[in-house]
Amino acid sequence: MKEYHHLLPLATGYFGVSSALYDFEGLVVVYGPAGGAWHINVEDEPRWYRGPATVVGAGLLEMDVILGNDDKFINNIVETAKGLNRRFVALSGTPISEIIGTDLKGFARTIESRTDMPVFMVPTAGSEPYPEGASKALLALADKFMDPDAPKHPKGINVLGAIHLSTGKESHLDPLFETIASTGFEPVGVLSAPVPGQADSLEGVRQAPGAAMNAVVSTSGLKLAERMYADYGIPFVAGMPVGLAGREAYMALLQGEKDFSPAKPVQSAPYEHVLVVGEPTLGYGLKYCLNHDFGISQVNVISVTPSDPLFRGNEGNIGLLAERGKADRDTDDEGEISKLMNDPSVDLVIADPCYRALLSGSAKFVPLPHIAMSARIHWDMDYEYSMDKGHAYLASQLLGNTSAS
Amino acid sequence: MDLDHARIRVEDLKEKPDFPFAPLEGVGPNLAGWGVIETCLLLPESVAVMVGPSACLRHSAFMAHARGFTERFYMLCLSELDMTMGNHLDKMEKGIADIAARRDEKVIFLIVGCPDYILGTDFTGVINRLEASTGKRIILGAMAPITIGLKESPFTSAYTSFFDFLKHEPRVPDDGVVNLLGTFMPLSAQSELYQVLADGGMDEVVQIPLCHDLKEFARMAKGRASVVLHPLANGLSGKMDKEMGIPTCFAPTSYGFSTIRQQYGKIGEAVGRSLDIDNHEQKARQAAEPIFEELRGKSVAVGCSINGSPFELALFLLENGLNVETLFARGTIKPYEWELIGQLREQAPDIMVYNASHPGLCGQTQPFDHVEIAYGVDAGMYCTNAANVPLSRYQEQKYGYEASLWMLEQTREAMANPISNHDWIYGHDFLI
Repeated sequence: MKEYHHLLPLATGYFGVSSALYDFEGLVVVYGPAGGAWHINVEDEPRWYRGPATVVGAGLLEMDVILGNDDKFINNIVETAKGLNRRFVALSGTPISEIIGTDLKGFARTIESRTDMPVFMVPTAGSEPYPEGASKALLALADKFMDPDAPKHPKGINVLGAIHLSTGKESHLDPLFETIASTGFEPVGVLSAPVPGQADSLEGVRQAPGAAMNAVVSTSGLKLAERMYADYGIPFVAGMPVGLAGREAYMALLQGEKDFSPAKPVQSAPYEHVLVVGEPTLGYGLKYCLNHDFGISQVNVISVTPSDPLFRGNEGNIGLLAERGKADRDTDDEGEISKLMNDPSVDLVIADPCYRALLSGSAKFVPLPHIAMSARIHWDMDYEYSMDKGHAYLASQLLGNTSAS
Repeated sequence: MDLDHARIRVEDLKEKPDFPFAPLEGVGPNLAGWGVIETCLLLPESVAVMVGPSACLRHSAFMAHARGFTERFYMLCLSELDMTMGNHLDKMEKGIADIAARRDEKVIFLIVGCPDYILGTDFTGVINRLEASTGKRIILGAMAPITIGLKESPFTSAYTSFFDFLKHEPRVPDDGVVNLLGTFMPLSAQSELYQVLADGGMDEVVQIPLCHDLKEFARMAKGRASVVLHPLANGLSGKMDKEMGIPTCFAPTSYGFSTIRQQYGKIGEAVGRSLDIDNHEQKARQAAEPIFEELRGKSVAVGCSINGSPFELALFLLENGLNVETLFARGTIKPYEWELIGQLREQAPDIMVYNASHPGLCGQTQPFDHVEIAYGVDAGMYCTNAANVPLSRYQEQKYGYEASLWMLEQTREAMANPISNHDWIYGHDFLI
């Protein structure tokens, strides 16, 4: 059993559903008591402020749970979905629906038949890591909207897993999109957000099967990438390119180069043992950057959500920007992370600012928000990780540089 | 969704079923304050341990951190499967024992969530064993929104549970002591209430936010009366009255001069003394008049996140010439507010009352573009052009005529140097 004292427990399954679907103009119904959806919006969804009803709660009460009252809630959802004129309805489970075994799949079928709207359920509860919820949501979105006969784009690429809980503000990914464009690829779909310039927010999802490549930038996108390889034969590259060497390596992966070797470090940072704590895809991207941009050889990645999906080596993965080391591990346990951070040999910690509370030793702390941890608290912080901008941010923190290399 | 679904003219708001029904929880800014954790941790020498699925814990953790309770708040994550199978009790017992061994506090609030509430988990054995092995009091509480509206709220239950630390105290009344209940922040140091009570011979006000330990809290047993500023404390004050013979009165934070006079009347009755407030009222009226002159005719909205009743504040503003057109409320209108609504019906039947959590209201700001002053962060969220005056209970706890003047000065300040609603919500945590 995990104990938290100084930290917030990480976002869980239905937070991931919300994060993945928020931008598609749908209605996400968190099927649980009042408060669940409220907190997601107010704390975890910086996009909520003054926006339309997107993530709403069912507001279950004690007698509803005892008596069922399924008809009442189906009616409520139908009334709201019709009244708000959203693009689809997604039902997401909570601890209560999990415990009482609510048939959300049956709900979805009934609501769909009564509204003529696309309706789907995402089987979540309240204890699973948020990427699991996001991953299921992306699969459900794909099942509902992808067009298997979408026209083929030989240079088309989809970006999968760019959910705000993992990657933060969309602008943090600008360097990634610029680099992708520089290799000749054109974005077809960004699964978790509309493609800029498309009037129909779901157009990118529909057209996604026509792409030639998938770029997976967080573990939330891996299952969908595997599914799209199985269904449409689209290969994928997984990783979050951080820094200059990360950019070069990523471009090589996208272009199918097998024997890429990174250039020698351009700078040397005065640190010997770094601990990176956070989402695994970004964590391993940081590790690559610290190894090859800053010449730091000992970098341990502490993945606070499961990293296994990155390394399972499934078919379709033609490139992975992550290399697991012996001392890397998966844990979000506050006590364990605290011990690792305060190991006397660790002289640099890169993590969400919330983790600073665990640091009692002399290691330097570099803040890098993980929205699934600190939510809105550090949403507006000035930081970067992707490509050149990521290098510049790390250089400013590690070397005191203020300009990009 | 038509906005008409989310609102009602105050003329037609006569009983609870009239209030606009929200088919789903539309996530309005309507739940500010009084979380179970912050309520529990008002009690000195206590820590809170919340157990449940991570999702539920994360929600409460934000509130605890925002209120500065990080050091005294622990969370134990449990899976739905463990809870359903009853496997969590052993884990919970061990976890709480570990925490107890590290802390000096005498009281541990064990807070469970909706799952355990629905499953009917029996914690009696766990609590008995923990009390025996740790020597600390373990108090069971619930952070269970699934109980909303059905019975005593978890917040009220948590506050009422403080009675356990009073009930064994000898009842030796001290005529100079008055208890103040239902406040999260200490009463402001310059509050007129201290002066009014002191003039009546009562020079000690015991209030929970200022009690450093249980011994200080126990002085409430000596109180000649209790004054309740928020309905949350009615359960505790009722028990103190019934079982210890400490008279009580409900005199909530108010803004209107006539209402404040009534509240002091109730307080005087409870303490058994006539309280002299004439001078305070006269001074307040004189100080208020020039501010009202500046504000008369302004278009106003009042929300339910203010300290006090939005209906009471609306009445006061109407009576002084402001143009109150819009109220934002929740379905949980308090019993004492129906009389205020009745007065509003008489004075301004066209006021629109919105259900702040209605999904049809989310994102609707254009209908409120003309509003010039919005009281409460909930009203401020919809009224984008208005000067936002939070009147949050997390700013300062004022009382009496001082509260009226503070409200007016805050209004003038907000109009001269506006702070955005976004900053109030996210920079000052007045929504969480």
